[in-house]
Amino acid sequence: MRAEGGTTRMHKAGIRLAAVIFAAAVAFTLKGQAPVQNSTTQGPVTFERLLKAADEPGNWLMYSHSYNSWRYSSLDQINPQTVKNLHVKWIFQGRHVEKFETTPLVANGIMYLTRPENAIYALDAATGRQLWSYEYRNPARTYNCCGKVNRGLAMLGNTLFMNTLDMHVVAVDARSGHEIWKTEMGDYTAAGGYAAPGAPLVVGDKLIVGMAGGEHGVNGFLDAYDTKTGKRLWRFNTIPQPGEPNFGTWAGDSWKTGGVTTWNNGSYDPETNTLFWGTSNPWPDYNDDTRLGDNLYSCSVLALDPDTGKLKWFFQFTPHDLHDWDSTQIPILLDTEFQGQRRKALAWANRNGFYYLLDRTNGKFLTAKAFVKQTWAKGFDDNGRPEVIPGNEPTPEGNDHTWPGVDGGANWMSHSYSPLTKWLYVFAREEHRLFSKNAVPHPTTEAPDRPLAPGALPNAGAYDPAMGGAKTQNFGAPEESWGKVIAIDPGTGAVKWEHRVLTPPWGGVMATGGNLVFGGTLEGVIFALNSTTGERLWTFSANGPVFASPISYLANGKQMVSIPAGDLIVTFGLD
Amino acid sequence: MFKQSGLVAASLVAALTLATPLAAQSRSAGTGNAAAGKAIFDGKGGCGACHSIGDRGASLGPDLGDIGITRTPKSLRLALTDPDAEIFKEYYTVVVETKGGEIIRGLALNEDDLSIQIRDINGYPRSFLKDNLKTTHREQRSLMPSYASRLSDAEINDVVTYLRTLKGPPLPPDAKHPRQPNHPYSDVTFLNRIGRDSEERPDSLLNLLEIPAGATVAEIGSGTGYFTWRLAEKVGHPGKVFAVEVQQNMLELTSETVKKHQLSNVQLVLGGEHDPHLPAASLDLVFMANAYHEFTDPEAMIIAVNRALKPAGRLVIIEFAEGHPFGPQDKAERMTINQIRAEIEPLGFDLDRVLELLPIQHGLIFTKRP
Repeated sequence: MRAEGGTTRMHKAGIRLAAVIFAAAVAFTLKGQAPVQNSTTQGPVTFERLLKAADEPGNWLMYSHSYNSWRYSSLDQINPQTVKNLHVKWIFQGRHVEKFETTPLVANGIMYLTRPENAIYALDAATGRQLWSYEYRNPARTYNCCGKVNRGLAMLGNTLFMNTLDMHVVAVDARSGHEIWKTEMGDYTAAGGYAAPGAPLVVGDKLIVGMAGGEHGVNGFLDAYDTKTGKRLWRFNTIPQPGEPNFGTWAGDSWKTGGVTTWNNGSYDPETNTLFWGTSNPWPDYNDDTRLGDNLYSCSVLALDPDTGKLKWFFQFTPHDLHDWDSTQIPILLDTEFQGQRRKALAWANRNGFYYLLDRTNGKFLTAKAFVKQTWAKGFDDNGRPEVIPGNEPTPEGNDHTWPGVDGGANWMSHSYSPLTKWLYVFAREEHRLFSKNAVPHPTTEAPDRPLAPGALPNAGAYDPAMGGAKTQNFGAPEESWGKVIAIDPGTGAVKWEHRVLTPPWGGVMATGGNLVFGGTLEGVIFALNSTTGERLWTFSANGPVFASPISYLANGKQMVSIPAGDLIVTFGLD
Repeated sequence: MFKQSGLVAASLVAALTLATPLAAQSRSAGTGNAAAGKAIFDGKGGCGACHSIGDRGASLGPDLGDIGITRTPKSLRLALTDPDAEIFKEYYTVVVETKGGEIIRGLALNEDDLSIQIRDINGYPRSFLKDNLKTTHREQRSLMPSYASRLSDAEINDVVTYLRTLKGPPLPPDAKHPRQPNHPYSDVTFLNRIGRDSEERPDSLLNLLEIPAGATVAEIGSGTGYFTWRLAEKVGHPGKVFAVEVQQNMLELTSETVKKHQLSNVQLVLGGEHDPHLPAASLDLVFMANAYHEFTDPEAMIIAVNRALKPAGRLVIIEFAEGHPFGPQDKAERMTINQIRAEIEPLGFDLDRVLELLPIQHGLIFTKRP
């Protein structure tokens, strides 16, 4: 047994079952593996290729690798037998102090990544050598809540797309780094300030773009732009406006400043032509005096028609949220057995601490199960509405007994689904914090409304560039907060194994066809776990916090794994 | 300069609030001999083997350069006689046991999932791979030995008295506040803001001050009466609160709050810009929250406050912290600890303590210099 922070637990029946699945799946993947890809022979990234992105394991063509957002690479050269030989192949030096939250794309042997604030770099994916760079200059003052970060790009044809902190979308030629068009989504200084730190998503000939600013009393939306011209094609208001369905779930005029932003990435189901996107919490975050009601469509998943932006259905995970529990996690589309029936499902490990399974064809609630310690909900009714336990509300001098904490059981970093094990992998956060019923800042205030950690200064950040790494919140108090990679059976929500780590994470995970799960901790320990057992097989000490999710691709026929840590992008491979 | 150890500050507050010692005794500035205390500190106490004062010295224990204003005499005495009683989490003893059976104790320097770094009891940094360890755990105990049986009561008093003289490095000469004269604060919306309790923690703050029932207290800048009614409830009868305002309209707001709480021990005072109009040598405590920076003639006001205090009376100043991302953004409405000290101490006050309770404000307790 390892010392604290290194323990693993596993479900014995699960291992036996998984071993069978593993053997079968390895045989399948070996047989079905795409031929080794040459880095130069492929053409533009068409929508047809994006639809089949999972079949191009040599590339990483969109934020979550494929439209179902599995963040799964079928590559298997790196596996439990070979992973011990995994080593650094190259490093990209970001030379910036801001957090690296990007997911790079890889197409045709070139890696495209965003570097804070809004620069794009094109690198040779085999060596990390730079081919070109592009820098979008934001004004000095932007209104990002949580760092001047960017989470990545979308790609179509030979064009890359990036959102900017001052609420623009830019299209850049992937061959040259030259700007093709630039569109303003909206006034970034309106209300308390808007920003767009997420990665966009291409669907057909449209670019789907979300926005942030939920701490600043904004009015949220999700946009679609013409990928050729940058012209806006539709806008979905995430707060119903007067005359729209579901208007009136906000007391008085609170809907005007209710937040409900769309700051992460979404998913797309080509079979039903449906776009899935999560929404943020309502504003003011911890003070509901002025916003009685369910506050639709906050803390929800939206199912939209990508052609028109029309709402097909929605499901609200946390009605009338009081804890900043955004539902901006990446929607994971998978088919699974539920109570003996095959279902087209949506799997969602939510910031509120519950794992949800929904029917993705109609939004019907199937089941929910806590995946971290939680104190706020007794259970759920048939429609998935939580039965709230009183006493978890923020209080004037602060409530520190509510689990999960403000950053949630999950947050924005990616989860991963492996068709090999048929399990969902979540890098979860266990902690409690101080929820104070703070002042309602004026919507144009500069100070975001953030609750205090127990007894600590507001915004005592998790990231401390001066220390070159993480301020471990649980330093000296491992029972107060910790992290864990868990394997969840999507049909039941049962946890199959758990790999505990020292600190609640800010990095995501990626499962691979090599029966591995990759991720990185806040202290910068990059790891590979056996995806059937949770056993830790390999580590690398990057000593810079991981605030992003890994990817995998082929360079000259060799599997590579890349992950940002600190201001570096570290890429690993075998000889 | 001031280490923020918020987690501990909260529990410390709880501990201090639970205890109800005689207020005067717990606040006494130490009855020992500081020079004798320093001799013990440097000599037979061996304190310097683990602690630094300012930039110089050992680093196994916390730096004590400003311990005299961050801890009360009672808390210092407790730390000497029972070091485990009020221990900061970063000073928990880390115990690692190697697979070979060796047990090493120290303080945590760093840790991740693969390794742990500690400073051992000899002061040396050491690193251990967790794979080579049998166990790692933290004990809610201090590495510091108890002096309860090593030093006499009188010697402990001497050490406490010496530690109380450690109040940080000398104040920089330019630590004056960029004051905006004629800037009376009258934003009632701000004073009545809904979340004020979570920012200013009024109940915890006043509990921490251990104001005895029956005390005579003045609040200068009573505003909407936010602290006034709480102070009045604390002192009760025969205690008394003078609520001072330089603005008549604010005094009326104070009055409304006092009436709402049905209090009869509050006397409203219309103060002047140079004089709060308080009776001489009559007050146990003067309290001012977010008001001092507004004074047009701060020096005259503080001299008058000093005059109005009884011997060893206390002055409590709360101000929004300069440089903090929260609170008013206007620099004129924020102060640093050094600015407050540089203006107050020369006017007949000693800094007794800096509170660690308030998330976005500084709270300083001064005592009238004999």
